[in-house]
Amino acid sequence: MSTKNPDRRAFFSLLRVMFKGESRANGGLGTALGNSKSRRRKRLGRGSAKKAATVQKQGAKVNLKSKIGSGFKYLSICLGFAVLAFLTGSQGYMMGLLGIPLTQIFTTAVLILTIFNLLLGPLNTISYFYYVKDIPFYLSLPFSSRQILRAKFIHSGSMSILSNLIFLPLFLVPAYMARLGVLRLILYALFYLTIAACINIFIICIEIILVRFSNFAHNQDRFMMIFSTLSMVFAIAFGIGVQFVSNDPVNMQGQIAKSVSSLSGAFLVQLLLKLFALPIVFTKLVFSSSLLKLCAGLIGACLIVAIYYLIFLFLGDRYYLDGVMSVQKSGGNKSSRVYQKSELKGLISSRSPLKAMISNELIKLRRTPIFFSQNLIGPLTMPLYLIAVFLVVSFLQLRNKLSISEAVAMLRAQTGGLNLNHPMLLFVTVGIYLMTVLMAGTSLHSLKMSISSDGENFFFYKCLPVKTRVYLLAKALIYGVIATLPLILIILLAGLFLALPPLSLAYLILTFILLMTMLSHVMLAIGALYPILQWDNETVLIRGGKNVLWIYLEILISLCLVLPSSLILIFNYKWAYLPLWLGHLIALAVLVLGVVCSIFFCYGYAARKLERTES
Amino acid sequence: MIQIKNVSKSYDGKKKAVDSLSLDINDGEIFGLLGPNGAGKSTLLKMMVGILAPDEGEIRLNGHSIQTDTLAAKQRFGYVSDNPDHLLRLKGHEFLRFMADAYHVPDELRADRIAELAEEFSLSDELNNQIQSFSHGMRQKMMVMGALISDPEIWILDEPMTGLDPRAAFLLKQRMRRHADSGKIVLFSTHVLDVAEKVVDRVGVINKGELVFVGTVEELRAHFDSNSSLEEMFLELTEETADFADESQA
Repeated sequence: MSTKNPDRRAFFSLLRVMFKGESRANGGLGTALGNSKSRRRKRLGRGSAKKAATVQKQGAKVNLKSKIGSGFKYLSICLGFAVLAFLTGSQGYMMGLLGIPLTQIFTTAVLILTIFNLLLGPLNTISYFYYVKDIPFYLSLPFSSRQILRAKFIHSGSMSILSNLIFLPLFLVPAYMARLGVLRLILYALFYLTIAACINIFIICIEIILVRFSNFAHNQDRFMMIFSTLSMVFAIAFGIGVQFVSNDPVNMQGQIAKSVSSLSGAFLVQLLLKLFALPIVFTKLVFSSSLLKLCAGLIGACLIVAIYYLIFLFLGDRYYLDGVMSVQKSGGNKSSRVYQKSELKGLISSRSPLKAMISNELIKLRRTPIFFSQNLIGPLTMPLYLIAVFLVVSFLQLRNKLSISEAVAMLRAQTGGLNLNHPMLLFVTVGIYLMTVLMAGTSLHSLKMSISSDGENFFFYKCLPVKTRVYLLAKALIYGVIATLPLILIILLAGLFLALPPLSLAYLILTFILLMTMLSHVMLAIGALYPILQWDNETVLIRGGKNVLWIYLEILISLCLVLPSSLILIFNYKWAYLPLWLGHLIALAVLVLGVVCSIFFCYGYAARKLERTES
Repeated sequence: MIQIKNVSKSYDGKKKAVDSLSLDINDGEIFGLLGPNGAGKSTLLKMMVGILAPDEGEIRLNGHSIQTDTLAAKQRFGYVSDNPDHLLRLKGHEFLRFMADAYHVPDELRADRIAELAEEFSLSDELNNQIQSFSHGMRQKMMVMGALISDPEIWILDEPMTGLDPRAAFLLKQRMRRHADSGKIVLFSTHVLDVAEKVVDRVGVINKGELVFVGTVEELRAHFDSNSSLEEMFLELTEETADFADESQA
């Protein structure tokens, strides 16, 4: 970096700090073991060289561990990205095979991109520009608001563009299949990126105006909850809707072609795209056979991006700083209500420590946006999503063979006789076992994270006269109910609808409850043994790379825990040593034993270990 | 009474943050714990309230050991830590109710105590707001209210004056005095020597994990045979510890 341009160097320092981790902007420098200080001391011959070398060696170990951890994190992000890119690429391949015009595929890709950015973009953008806690720190430094604005733009824009690359294969793969040449593919990709950039700049501009002139975004929690819930609802609706297209075995190809054609030509879609993704007007030019027209279209798109950027700078110069300051001082909705004693009496009546802890936990879940979406809405809706997908797929598979009423009648005829000696009940039971293992990665993961989600508050609780077991029990009850209740209701309703014998239905529900109780306590115990209590913000805790590894591990652990009972059922079925009903009872007994062991493990060993956790 | 006997604590197994510290604090007194940064004050307080476990020694709070009779010991004190950012999602009245539940404060006492504390610390119109919307000083006051709602036998505060405006600091000092005058114990750590000088009955100076002086401010002056300010005596104490440490233990 040139020392002759200190402003430029300062700007790049600011940018580097933003990319490295905003919350570490003014802390964490040189605090790791074996930092440059110890090397310097050694070099200067001060202090004990041996001690410095030891510290350096320890620091190197810590450094290696953290590098491995970071490596896993980035690997899991890359893998996730690769999987998503592969999925979109395979959809593009299918569309290419169906002979759908490239312009239509491209328009569909841009439509998905636009909706994706409209749902996730506002939350991400506003977090980068306004909600980061280090902004007051930047404002106190000798940076102009334009420098901060540009740095924020580069930071948030680069992250957005990276995530938008997921949809690139959707039209690049059919373009490649049409043998259009590498140059054209690169230019198409650039065209796509100009559109992505336009959408993101447009969203930023709207937000600058929104934050400056309205209070809507000043309540950070409310804003985040609304958008995270919306995106979850959309993701579920999209996931279910895609099943109708991709699982229709008879008319799949025609369905896809028809959907793409009508979507890309629809008036509302065109309006939406021209509003947010204006460079799309150059689509015909870019996808024409003439390279000259392609370049002209690309230049036109770049010009539009440049104009959008200038508008962004204009709005940002005028309104960004004011918006930042209004968010800083707003603090959400404030009440100045003064309670009378009689009112206070109603609000503060006594509860047991368990009820008090449960109340605190529910408040934390309700009022912390990321916990609300990840630990409450997610676990409640995920089972419903899976059931909905199952029903849609079944409906599509059957609809050309049987009517719904015929299918239901046929099913009831089968399920009405599912007593404990029926082999089919065994398979349903094993299905429930597998389902709970899958839930280890969603609802049950919340249990593992429930102690970590307290963060430093854990040490506050630690100095109160509340037993650790009560603390753990409160979490087990809340997250256990959230994980278990929706599926119990579904099993119950399905069982009643399908006229399952009462004993079989009771057996299935009991099996599920025992499984969930056992796995819940094991996950909670894991969370107690390996709590993460020092974190900067909830997002880092929930979305950190280590979580992915933990989820895989939890699924593996759950699989091992359900294996004994499921093997008893399967082996008994295969070799029929005992009547099937007896096999079921033995499996149930093993589950009961598992529950007892998990409870002792959680409230005994894990609780004692948690008590010894120190700050 | 607080009894601390030969308590030691080390974080890395080598250097001791607290080194064989023994101290008795009597009922009815305000005891100030002074020391430079990293002296071991917060470590000692955290061991007393159960956040950290001593490597050696024993701590008893009104006869209950914090290590073996934990719940009974915790029932005896209210603690205000140096960081007031706790349970930020709770509203003021929700936090106070929670603290009252944790300490089994009877129903008939709650409303009066909360109303009185809110009035005293000027937070009556903030009880319906989440603690995260409070300033640092207001959060500090809320933590103080939470610690006092049970009217604890022992009141332990870690750097309580940080972030408080002069009025709030004055009220807190008055509160501490009233608390001690009713036969209870107040133990607090501070860097602010003016506060310590005006409020405390006895003072303990910690340096590098060791207790280098325990006594009244007058006794400290008598030792130095001067009318220096507490600040000057403190600086001298924490520079030269060896000889004086032996004398004060005798």
